[in-house]
Amino acid sequence: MIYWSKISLPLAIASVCLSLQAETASYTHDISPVIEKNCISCHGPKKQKGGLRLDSYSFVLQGTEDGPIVKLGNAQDSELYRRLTLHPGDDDFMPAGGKPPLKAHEIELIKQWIAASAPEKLAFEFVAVKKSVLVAKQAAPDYRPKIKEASAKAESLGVRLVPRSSIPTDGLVLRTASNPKRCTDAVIEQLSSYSDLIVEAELSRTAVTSKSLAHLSKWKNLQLLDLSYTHVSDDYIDSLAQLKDLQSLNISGTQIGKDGLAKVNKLTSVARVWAFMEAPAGLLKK
Amino acid sequence: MNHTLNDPNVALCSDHCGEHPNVANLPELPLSLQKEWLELETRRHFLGRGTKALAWAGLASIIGRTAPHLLADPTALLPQTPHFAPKAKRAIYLFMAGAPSQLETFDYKPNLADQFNKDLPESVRGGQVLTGMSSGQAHFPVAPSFAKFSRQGKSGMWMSEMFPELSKVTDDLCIIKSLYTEAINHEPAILTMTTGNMFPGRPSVGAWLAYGLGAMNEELPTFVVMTSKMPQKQNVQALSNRLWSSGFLSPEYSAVQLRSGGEPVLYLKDPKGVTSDIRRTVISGVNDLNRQLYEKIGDPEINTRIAQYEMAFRMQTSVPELTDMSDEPASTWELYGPDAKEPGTFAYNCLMARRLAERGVRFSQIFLRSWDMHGGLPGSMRVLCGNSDRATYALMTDLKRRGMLDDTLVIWGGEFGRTVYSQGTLKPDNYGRDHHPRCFSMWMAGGGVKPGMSYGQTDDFSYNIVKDPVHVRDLHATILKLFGFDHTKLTFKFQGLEQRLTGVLPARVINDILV
Ligand code: HEC
Repeated sequence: MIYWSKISLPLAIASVCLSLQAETASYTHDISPVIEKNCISCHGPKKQKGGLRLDSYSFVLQGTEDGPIVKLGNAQDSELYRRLTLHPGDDDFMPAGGKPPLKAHEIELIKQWIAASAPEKLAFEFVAVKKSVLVAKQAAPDYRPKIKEASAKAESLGVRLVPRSSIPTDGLVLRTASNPKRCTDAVIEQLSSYSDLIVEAELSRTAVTSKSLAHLSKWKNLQLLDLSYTHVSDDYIDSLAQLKDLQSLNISGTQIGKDGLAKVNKLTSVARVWAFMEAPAGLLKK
Repeated sequence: MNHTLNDPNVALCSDHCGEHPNVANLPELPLSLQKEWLELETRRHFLGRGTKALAWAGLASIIGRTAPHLLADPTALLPQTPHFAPKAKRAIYLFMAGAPSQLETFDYKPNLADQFNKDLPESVRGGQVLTGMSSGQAHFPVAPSFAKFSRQGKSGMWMSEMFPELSKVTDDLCIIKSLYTEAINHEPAILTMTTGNMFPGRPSVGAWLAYGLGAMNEELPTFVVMTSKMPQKQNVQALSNRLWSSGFLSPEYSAVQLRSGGEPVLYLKDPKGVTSDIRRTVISGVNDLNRQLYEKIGDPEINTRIAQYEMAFRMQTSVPELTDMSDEPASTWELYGPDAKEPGTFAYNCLMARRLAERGVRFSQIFLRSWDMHGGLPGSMRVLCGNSDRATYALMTDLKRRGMLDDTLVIWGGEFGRTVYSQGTLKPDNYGRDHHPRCFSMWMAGGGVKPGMSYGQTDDFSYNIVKDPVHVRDLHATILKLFGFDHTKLTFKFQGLEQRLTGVLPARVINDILV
């Protein structure tokens, strides 16, 4: 089963399904330019007609003394939306003072924005949980013959290879947390000679890029691959399909875009994928 | 100084035992030399004390593995490897000091509504010895929870209205309703929860893990403790570093406390006029001397000290990076709320715990006090839950969406439970509850714990456990299991015993709650 998890924080995060990508608006990207152009002259720092300011996200949500003008999730019941959709001759119509009405697509944007609980910025979250329980795998060859050499090599490269447990077939963990930036594509390449022993690669916040994926995709015993907050992009992402034992993949905060995600989604063995992104590049482009 | 180093007796004296050499036990000296000697003596003494102070400040919790060239005996600090593949790589323990009532939080007792102000049946109390705070009461009137409960999530577990935010992640929680302890007063009870023993001097859970696992990140301590600003200055219990000490384990495994005001870690900054280069030179010099001393007398404590100096030096860069939250995206602040911007709040500490976990710190323990509600419970409960609910939810959500909950164990709970009967006057909307060690609730999440389930059961009065009791020892054995340890085999020889976190009495891993 795959699902896109929705976070119910009202103001914070709209979780965007891939299919929705183009339709969801955020205050910063979409709404503030419209308000800026049409409303600030009367609802800004200088004038606050009707006791209302609209020149920041929090002002918009704050509304007036009488209450909020945005009802999260419901455009029809939101004063903001109602005022824009009245007949231009109506006393309550906004923008007031005979100014030109908003364009139809701008009004539509505001409607969708309110419907999506009026997020300030867009972050999005993609979680694919296909199996709730990870399968214990007979991991790797006995590490004992090579562990000294492997860990010395890792040490010389500024990273660590440590046994996952005292059971010699439980494999090694590639650990970089002490100084993630020292772990570069070159380091990954040099560790490849011990790749059959490595079952977990903790590469979060390291300097690795998509180039490393070409190597990592041959680390055939990898079960966990954490690439979060690296510069990994869509390139070579499909090569991970070669990793038959890969169970957990974290690509949060990477450069991976819509196409890359679609490919990740096709990786059949992976039980867990995490991709938590802040306003992901390429996904929100209109 | 040479004199001190050449003479083994004096060398031993300098820090470990006995009397310091002084001008009086030396052959007669000219006055100018005496003065110089005294000056040197004070400085040397200060350095000696200084390192102790550092250790006390907790600048210690080191690195399980120190670069071999730093140590005379490189194996001395090699980390142990877990017995089997761990599910949890790190833990965040939200310690609710003072003991939150189970009745208003996780142990829902709908039938109590009809029992309002009726005396607790003697058969339920079963002659139990009470604390002096309520033992004199003529009556033990049942106080139903003022807080309402509703079913939440797919699991349909009963959640309290005290935790509207946390309720959104109900399906991630494993609620244990059947914990018990022997201790009925705070200090012994908190010690039992944190160290497995009600007498001071034992290593804390975090210290055992640091000792057993070593560091993931050698630039930061393995075990970190934070105390939180209190939302109300009532019902406060004292906290001390007994709760996070390494006990008889090497001091490097005790927690470093991250402080909320001033510098996050004490004595880390270079003094005025001392550049980083000078500091480096001094530390290298001191460590060289210490290595010579080690070669002479072989006391492993010297290696600990060398490692601590190095750690402190590394933390000069790693701690500022850790505590500078300007790199957090807007979504973080939206999630945790405005409180998280203020250092020392529970929300700030929760966010800090996520940052620590992200950087590979094994064990972060956040203390939130003021749960000791002997009177005025409903009002205080609203304040405390209100203060912590959003942050707790935010931490869970944050770990989840970053893909960290799978291997980060989150633990929430206090040191014992509270009585179903009211301490003092009972009104429907105002009452108090006394200490109750016979049952209490906690929850765990992530790190290999089964999500969306509750475990154990108490009787209709939440007074006695009727199903699946969990002693604190069992909890500790389970936590160790999640980190890949057989609790009977993670030991340290001290006072002729193979000491362990769970002690010598039987302890049971609660396999039913493991994935
Ligand atoms: C020329 C000045 C002017 C401009 C431009 C203008 N407004 Fe107004 N607005 C007013 C005045 C005056 C009031 C108070 C009278 C009223 O409630 O109709 C008001 C009231 C409102 C209210 C009702 C506040 C309440 O009391 O609940 C909303 C909502 C509103 N404006 C939204 C907007 C939006 C959105 C725009 C831009 C698309 C806008 N306004 C542009 C003058 C203006």
